[in-house]
Amino acid sequence: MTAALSRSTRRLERFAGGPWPFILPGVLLYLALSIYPILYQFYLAMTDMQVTSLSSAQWVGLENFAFLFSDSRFLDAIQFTLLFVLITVPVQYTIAFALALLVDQKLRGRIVFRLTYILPLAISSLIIGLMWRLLMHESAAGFINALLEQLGIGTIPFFSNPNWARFAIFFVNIWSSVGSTMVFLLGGLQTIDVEQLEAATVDGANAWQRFFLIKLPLMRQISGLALIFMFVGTFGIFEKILALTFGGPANATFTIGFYMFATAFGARGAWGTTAGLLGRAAAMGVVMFGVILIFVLLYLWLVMFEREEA
Amino acid sequence: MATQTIFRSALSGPRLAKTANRSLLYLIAIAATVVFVFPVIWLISASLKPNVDIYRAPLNLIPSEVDWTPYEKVFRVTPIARYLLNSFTYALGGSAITLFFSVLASYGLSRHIFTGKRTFLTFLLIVQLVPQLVRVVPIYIMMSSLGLVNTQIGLILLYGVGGIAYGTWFLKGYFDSIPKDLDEAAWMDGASKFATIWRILLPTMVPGLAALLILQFIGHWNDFTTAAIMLRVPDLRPLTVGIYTLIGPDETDFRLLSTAALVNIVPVVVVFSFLQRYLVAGLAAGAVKR
Repeated sequence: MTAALSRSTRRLERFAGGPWPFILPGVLLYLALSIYPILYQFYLAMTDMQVTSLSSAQWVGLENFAFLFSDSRFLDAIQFTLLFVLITVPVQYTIAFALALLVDQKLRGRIVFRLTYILPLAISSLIIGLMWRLLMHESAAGFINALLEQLGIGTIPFFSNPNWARFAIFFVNIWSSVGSTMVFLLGGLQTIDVEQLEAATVDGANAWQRFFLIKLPLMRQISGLALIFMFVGTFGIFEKILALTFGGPANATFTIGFYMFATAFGARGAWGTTAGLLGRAAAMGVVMFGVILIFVLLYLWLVMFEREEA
Repeated sequence: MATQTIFRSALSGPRLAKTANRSLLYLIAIAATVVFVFPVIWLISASLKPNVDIYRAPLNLIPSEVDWTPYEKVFRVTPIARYLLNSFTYALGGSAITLFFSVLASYGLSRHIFTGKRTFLTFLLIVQLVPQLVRVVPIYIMMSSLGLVNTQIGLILLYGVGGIAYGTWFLKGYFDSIPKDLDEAAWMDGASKFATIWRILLPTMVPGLAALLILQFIGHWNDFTTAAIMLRVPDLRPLTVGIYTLIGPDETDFRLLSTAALVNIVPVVVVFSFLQRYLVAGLAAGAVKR
C-alpha cells in the first residue's frame, strides 16, 4: 500500500520535474482548437445543423456529400480552385526564385529591395483585395484603365469579363504572396556554400551553369517545402476574392472557400447561396481538408522517396 | 592618371559587359520595387485628392490640392475610431496569450530530451499547415456552445491559442542557443524554474520575443475571417470587418474607401518599418539557431 503510494508519488514527481508541465498547457489548448475541430467537423458534416438551431441537429448520414457532388456550383468551385492553384503556383515559384536570386546579389540597397518585395505581407488580404479593386476599377477613376486609355490601348473589363476577372485575382494573389516564397527561397540560397560556387567559377563554370548545376539541385528540399505552403495557402483563398471580385462575374471566380463561408455565415447572398447551413458547410470543410491532406501526403511521399534514393 | 586608368578599364570589354549587366540588375530590382510599392502610394494619393481629380486626373499622383475631407468623414460617419481600438485590443491580447504559452512550451521542449520529441515537433508543424478557413464551422459551433460568440475574450482566446504552435517553434531556437550552464547556475543559487525563465533566460532573448510579438500582432490585426464569424455585433467589429461593411455592391466613393484602407495599412507599415531592424535581426537569429 505504502509502496504503491510512494511509487505513484515518485511518478508524479518525475512528471512534475519533466518537460510536460511546461509543454502541456499550451499544446493542449492548441490541439483543442486545431485538431479537435477537424475531427468534430466529420461529425458535423453528417448532420443537418443550421445556425438557427444549433442544438436540434439531426443525423443525416452522407446526405450533405450526396448533395455537394450533384451540385454543379460546388463542382465548378472545386474545379476553379484547383485551376487557380495549378496556374498560379508555378508562376509564383518562378518569380519568387528570380527575385530571391536578384536580392542575393551584392546590390547596393538590397535590404531596401527585400523589404519592399515583402511589403504586401504586412497588409490584410481583405484590404489588398479592396486596394486592387480600386486600382483595376472599370470606371475612369481606376488607375490602370485610365493609364491604358491614355496609352491608346483601351480599357480592360477586369470585373465584368469572366476571363479578365480570373486574370485579376490570379495576378493579385501572386503579387501579394510572392514575397513570402522569396523569403523562403532566399533562406535556402544563403545556406549554399560560397566556396563551392567559387570552385566552380575557377573551373570555368558560367553563371547559368552555376545556377542549373549547383544552386538548383541544392534548393530541391526547400523548394518542396515552399511549394507545399503555396499549394495549401492558395487552395484556401477566400478574403482576397471576397473584396476583389466577390466570386463574380457569374460565378467565374467562385472558390470552394468562398462557397463554404457563404453557406455557413452568408456573404450578402453571394451568387444565390443559402446561408446558415452549417452541416452542409462542414461537409465542404471535410472535402477541403481531404484535398489538403492529399497534397501533404503526396509531399511527404516525395520526401521519403528522395531520401531512399540518396 | 588615376582617372585615365579608371576610364580605360571601364571601357575594356568584359568590364563594360559587367557594368551593363549590373545596371540591368538594378533596373529590374527598381522596377520590382515600383510594382510592390506603387499601389499603396496611389492609395495615399487617391485619399488626398479633391473629388474632381478622382475622375478628371486619375493619373496624377500629386493632388492639385490636398483635401482632408475623407479623413474627417471616415472618422465622423463611421465608427472607425471604435474599430481601431477593437483591432488593437484583439491583436495585443492575442499576442500576449501566444507569448505566455509559447515561452513555457518552448522552454520545456528545449531543456528536456524525451522520446518522440522530433516527431512531436514535426506534427505541430504539419497541423499548422491547415488553413484556419477549413476549421471555421466547427470552431464557430464550439465557441457558441461555450457562450463565447460575440464576446471580445472569445476572439482574443482564438487568436492567442492559434499562435502557440508557431510561437513554440519560433522561440525554441532562442532557448536552444542559451547555454544550459546559465540554468544550472541559477538553480545552484536556489532559483525556481519559473524564476530562471523570467529573470535569467527571457532578458537574453528580447529581440526574439519582440519579433514574435510583432509578427503575431500584424497577423491578428489583418485577420478578417475569424473576426467576421465570431463577432456579429457592430460595436465589437475590428477594422477589417468594419471596412468590409463599407464596401457596397456598387462602390463609388473612392476617397472614403482608400482612406479607410489606409487607416488599416498605415499602423502596421509604420510598426514594420520602425522595427524592421529588430524584426530582421530577430528572424535571422531564430533561423540560424534552428
